[in-house]
Amino acid sequence: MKMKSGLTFVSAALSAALALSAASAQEKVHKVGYIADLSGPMQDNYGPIVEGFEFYVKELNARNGIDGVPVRVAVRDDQLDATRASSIALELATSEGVNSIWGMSQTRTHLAVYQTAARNRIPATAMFSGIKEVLPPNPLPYAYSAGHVFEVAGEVSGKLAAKMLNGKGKMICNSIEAPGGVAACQFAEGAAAAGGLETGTVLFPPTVTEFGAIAQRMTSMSPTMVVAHAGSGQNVGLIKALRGAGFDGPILMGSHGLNEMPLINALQGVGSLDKLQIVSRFSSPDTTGKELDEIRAAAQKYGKKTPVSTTTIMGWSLAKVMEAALLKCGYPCPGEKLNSTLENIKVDMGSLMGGPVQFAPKDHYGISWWRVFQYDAKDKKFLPASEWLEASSTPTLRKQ
Amino acid sequence: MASFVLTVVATWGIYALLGMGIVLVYRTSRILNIAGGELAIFIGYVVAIAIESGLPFPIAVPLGMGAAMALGLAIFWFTIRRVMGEPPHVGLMLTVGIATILNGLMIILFGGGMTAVPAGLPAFTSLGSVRLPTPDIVAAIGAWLSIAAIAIMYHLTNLGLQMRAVAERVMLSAQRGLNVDRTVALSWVIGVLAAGLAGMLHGERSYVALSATVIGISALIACLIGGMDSLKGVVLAAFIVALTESVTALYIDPRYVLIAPVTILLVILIIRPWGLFGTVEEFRRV
Repeated sequence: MKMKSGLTFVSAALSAALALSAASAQEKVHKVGYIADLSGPMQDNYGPIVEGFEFYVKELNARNGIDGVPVRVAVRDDQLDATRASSIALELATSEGVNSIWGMSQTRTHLAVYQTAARNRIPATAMFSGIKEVLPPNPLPYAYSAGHVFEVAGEVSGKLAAKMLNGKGKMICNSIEAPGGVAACQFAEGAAAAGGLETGTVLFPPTVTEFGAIAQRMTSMSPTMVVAHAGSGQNVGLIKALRGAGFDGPILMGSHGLNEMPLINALQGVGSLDKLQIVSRFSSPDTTGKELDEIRAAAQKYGKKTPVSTTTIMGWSLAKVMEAALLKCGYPCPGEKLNSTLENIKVDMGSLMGGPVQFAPKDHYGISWWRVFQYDAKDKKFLPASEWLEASSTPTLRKQ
Repeated sequence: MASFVLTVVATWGIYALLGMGIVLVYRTSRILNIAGGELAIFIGYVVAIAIESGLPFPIAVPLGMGAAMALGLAIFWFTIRRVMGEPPHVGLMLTVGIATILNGLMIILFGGGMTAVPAGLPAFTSLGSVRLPTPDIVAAIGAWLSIAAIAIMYHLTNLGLQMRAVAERVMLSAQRGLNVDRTVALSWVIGVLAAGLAGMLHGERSYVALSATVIGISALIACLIGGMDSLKGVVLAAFIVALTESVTALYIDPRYVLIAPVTILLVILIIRPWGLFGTVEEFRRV
């Protein structure tokens, strides 16, 4: 009798353990991966984007996830190293079992991540920087971008420069000597020239920190407007040097991972700050709107230490695209199914951007909208200075 | 032209100051400190954060200098003192570790983001019809006053005499009762102070960020061109580096601004491996 009850107990315990194990195995969750430079030279650009992404996911899970399925984000640090980024993508796709990769760091890491993701049949979607391989007519499979593809950003900046100067004057573009930076200036020059401006370009190595002579070179080219497609730290060094070298005209900066307040704080005393402009695909954090209010509330709720910036908005926006894709994909949502979903998606971005994020089978970037925000030194805000300008995903005005 | 000359003088001063710190440390402890850029920017962050917190520039700078001296002493006390007399590669690798740790600390303590050291002065100063960048004026004055102070200390004071004695004959110095440990410690304190001042001045005229640690590379190039054990060599070589960079940026093509001084370094290393003013003995020792 005793033995029988013992067996019954063991059997019940085993059944319970098996049931628990099965329940655990069947725990519904969308596992996604996120890659960024979190401790490398550009972590100040990419860190806040991850933060915005995570804020959105926290809020999403707090309202019961996507149709009751929570989202888990595995965040990894590539330190701007393409080899490391590729290894991480492989680890995320295999060991971690994610169905997608989001974020990504500088453009030089993108191809490696895209290729690894494609081999493992999971989509990868970039934010902030983007490479032309996502553009039509033959985008890489499984590769998307919802941020700034430099070819498009360059062309838009050139068009806007020509518009702001009414087709008269000279635009000098500057950027780093890297594929994205070079392309940005080639398209900026092409578009500005098409708009009637004289143009020129000054490129410098990505690691330059001393800008005195570079600024003097730019000033000697007699620009009416400077268009800057460099990183935020280099923008500070360059703007200081340009003002010191005698250039007092407008400076239009591509908002490529830009944190507005640190930029302005670093430029205090430099002068002519009211001639600083940003061209961006995203709304300024100083503007209003339902979604922007949600970001500010989330930032406060989760104790964000630094002010909300365009980078925070970028991360939040990317997570919004992710939510829409996972919702449409349903559960379970393996990588291939999610990829098919992304190839036919249109996400309303509300006040975050000028229009929806929209991908198609032959266009993994879509039409984008861009706007100029001008710094108001009195209110210490970047406020809209133009309407949203629609840009095609097939820029054509490259200077040869 | 006046702006260009000022830019060269300011850049020259910053590289020379940072390079002097590296040479001072090398002469007394025989350790090639490749963490110069990290030390400079670390102190740049300290001053930038102090100013952001509301401290005025004239108070934040001495605070940064104090932090630099404390950091120099800490580095000596916790690491360098333990590898004194070991083969040169041990000290070199130690400074690689120090650079890595400082990079990590800059992220943890300061967020690793982009900032600057605002002196609160206007962007330019007009002298008649000539317009000069004020940050360059501040950087040039600050750097050259610091260089003069270090040179006076090194050549005209007892402390400098002790440093030179340790640099020339360490065993003899010890036998004559000189406290070698204390002298080397002081050289690290002054070396890190020089780096810190260079970092502050760089942050004042440009920016402070993790990526700005590359100024250490330019200073190291100056040290190698001038000779690792020569203070006057590093000052002259810093001029060559600054002038080459600036001429390349203004008159040739800014894309080659980093390649140009390295090319000069390669030529010097082929013709005169111990540098323009370095000693053959030191070169062989390394």
